[in-house]
Amino acid sequence: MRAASTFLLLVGCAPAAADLVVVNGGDAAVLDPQLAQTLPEARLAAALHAGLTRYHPQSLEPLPDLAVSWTRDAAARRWSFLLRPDARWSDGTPLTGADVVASWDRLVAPTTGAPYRAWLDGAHWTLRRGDDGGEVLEVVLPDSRPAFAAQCATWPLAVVHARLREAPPGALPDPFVSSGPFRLVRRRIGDRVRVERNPHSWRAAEVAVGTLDLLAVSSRFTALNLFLAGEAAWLPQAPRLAVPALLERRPDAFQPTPRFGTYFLRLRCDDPLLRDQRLRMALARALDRDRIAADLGGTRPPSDVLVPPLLPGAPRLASPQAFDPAAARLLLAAVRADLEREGRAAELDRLELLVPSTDLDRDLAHVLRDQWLRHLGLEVRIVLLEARSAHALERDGEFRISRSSWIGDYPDPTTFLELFRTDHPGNRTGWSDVGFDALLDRAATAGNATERAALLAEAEARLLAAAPVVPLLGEALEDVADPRLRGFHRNLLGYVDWASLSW
Amino acid sequence: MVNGLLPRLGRRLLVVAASVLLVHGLAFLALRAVPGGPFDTARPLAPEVRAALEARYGLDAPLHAQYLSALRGLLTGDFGPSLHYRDVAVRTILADALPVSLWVGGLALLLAFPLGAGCGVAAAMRRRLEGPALGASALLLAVPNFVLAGLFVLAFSFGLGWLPPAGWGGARHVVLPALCLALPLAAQVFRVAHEGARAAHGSPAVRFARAMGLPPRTLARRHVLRPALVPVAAFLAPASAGVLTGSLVVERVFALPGLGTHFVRAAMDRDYTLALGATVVYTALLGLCTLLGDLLLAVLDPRVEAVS
Repeated sequence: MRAASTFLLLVGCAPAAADLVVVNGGDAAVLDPQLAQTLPEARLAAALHAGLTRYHPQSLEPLPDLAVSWTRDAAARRWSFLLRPDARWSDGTPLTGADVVASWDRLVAPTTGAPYRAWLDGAHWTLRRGDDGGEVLEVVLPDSRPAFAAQCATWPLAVVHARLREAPPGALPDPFVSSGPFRLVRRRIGDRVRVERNPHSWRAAEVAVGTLDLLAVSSRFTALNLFLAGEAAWLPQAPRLAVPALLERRPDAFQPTPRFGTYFLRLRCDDPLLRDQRLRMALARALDRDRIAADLGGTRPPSDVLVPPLLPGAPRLASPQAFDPAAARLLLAAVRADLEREGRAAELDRLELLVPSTDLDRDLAHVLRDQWLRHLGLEVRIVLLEARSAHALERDGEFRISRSSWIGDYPDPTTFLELFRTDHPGNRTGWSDVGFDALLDRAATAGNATERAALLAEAEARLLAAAPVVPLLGEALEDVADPRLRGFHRNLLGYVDWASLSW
Repeated sequence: MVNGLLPRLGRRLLVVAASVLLVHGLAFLALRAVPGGPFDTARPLAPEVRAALEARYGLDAPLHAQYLSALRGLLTGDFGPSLHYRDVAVRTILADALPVSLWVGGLALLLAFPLGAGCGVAAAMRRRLEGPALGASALLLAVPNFVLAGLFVLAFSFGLGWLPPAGWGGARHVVLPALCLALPLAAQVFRVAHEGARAAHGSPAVRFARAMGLPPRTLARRHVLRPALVPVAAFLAPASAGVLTGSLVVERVFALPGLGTHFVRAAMDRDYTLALGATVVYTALLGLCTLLGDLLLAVLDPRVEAVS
């Protein structure tokens, strides 16, 4: 049957082209939003699944989606979401508050294996009837979360249909029922996911695109070729080598903007050598981020802070890790003197940088090694490993310095800072500071936004001063969009609202 | 030739089955020996989430139990769920990808073998063609696939605008990848056929036939072509298996949903079940192609015993 359909496809009976074709980057490995963690999966989830809220495509303010309105208490711990009474699944059956409750129950069940389970850890939710008879979801969070409405716009908190909730591994329910502005038509691994307007969506009237193809194209050059040949209207990431040419020749389509993400180094603080904060700080202050950004090309901005200073009203932090080679050399000299007294000076020659073997990381590693050699006289060995092996070593703490990156899940500093709490699985540095944890705790119960922002900035300053993490570069959104694509906006998260696009 | 053919064929099929079993076992061990697992991603998983995932996919069981489960999958043809594409069965992924690779690879074979063998024999027969043909084949062998693909995209997609630069969706999408696979293969076939034809051309039988005044065309057809094709047939088996199971480079450059990408990506993603499934398909195809190659060899050269 499959061979026959492939034959028909080859002899010219290919299915009709979609109204809009975009490149979605690599393959989306899962269609279940609660298991999704990569950007292609998140983009697909935004088309197929709805949450309580959705982002404004430009400002990223949370807008009503499954919830028509919401309120919160002053501490941003108790939230009430008034649910849409006319909500329906893509098969036309009613979508109720019980579905939201069951979806979130599934998210926190360890057996689901949801990577974002911790988001609702310690939270409680119940349904009640509102004054007008509508369903209200009451959520009590374990801490203050002013950005919870924005968090509800992200894919892990989307509602999931019962058939998907109960599907065994390796099986996708057929038909695949979802709640987003689009519904699944077909999915071919390594090729595309085709979705069509969901007529039962409460946003159906505003969806201008009848069918949408999200192509799985892992090569950025191939994606750019498809765009240049007019076969795709958007691609999420331009190839680094093509950036100068695109800036010069296609300013209408290529307008890189800052993204809410950071490239950084993790340093093992329980390592016999790197447990010395002075050495960590020497390594951090010897890095000229402007030079790094220039050497690597592309449009990633230099950064010596962990939380990108891109959120409205965010305080500008003076990083204790700012480039200062003289100060770095002094710190290193002090460390070397102590090590010589202990007869361990030779250990300084055994520093290693663990790097996943991608093109960018390979280049970055050489630039870093060059800077440490030039400014500190330290020869750092580069350990290039393919990604999974590198991640496994990082997880197990079997590294001294490793290259990492993080893209914020929602627009709030905690999406970065929480990573470095003691015992957080994302910490991976062995660094633990009760003062830092306490600042995050205080921010979680802060009375107002200004106080909270100040506490989070203080926590970040404390983290940077201890230097278990060394920020290098900010992230940039380097997508390429056909100027004829209407309703398309670039934003900090790279979020695309497929429903508002027209072509 | 027919006498005892079926028992010998049966024995050869048993050898293929045993090879599949052996390769499956080795691949199972090799995959588990590599550091990292299917749930090691840049985003950290909480220990309880990792444990739940491992339990869900049976990765918390002892290694021998996991092997027995994989073996059961091999015997039933159900390799289980993919560990990367977690809501898809490996069987579905392979069933989707294999036809793509078979079509593109099959077309490449259909182009490469007549072209390579024909040019090889012609170059051996006509000395003035030999130099240019050898030069062209050396060039095609030296140019990497991705460079060839880039040149084709430049010429046929952006220059002439005849064909799409990538994607899968119709006959137009197959031409460039098939050409990219076919041309280097044709160069290899040319070399093999050329050597065979030259050896045949210089043989006493051909010299005698030429001395007897046999016309060149008849000479080529009757006395040169067949011996020249014997080494080509021997080369056919491994080359076919390689081409039919897809090429990572060509599939990546042209964004084809074929098997070659899965074969490599599954290992990179530590998708144990998909990697084992792809390995089994590749091994079985290699075994069957070798068997068919041997049969073809016996037809071309009666001195070779079929499926010996």
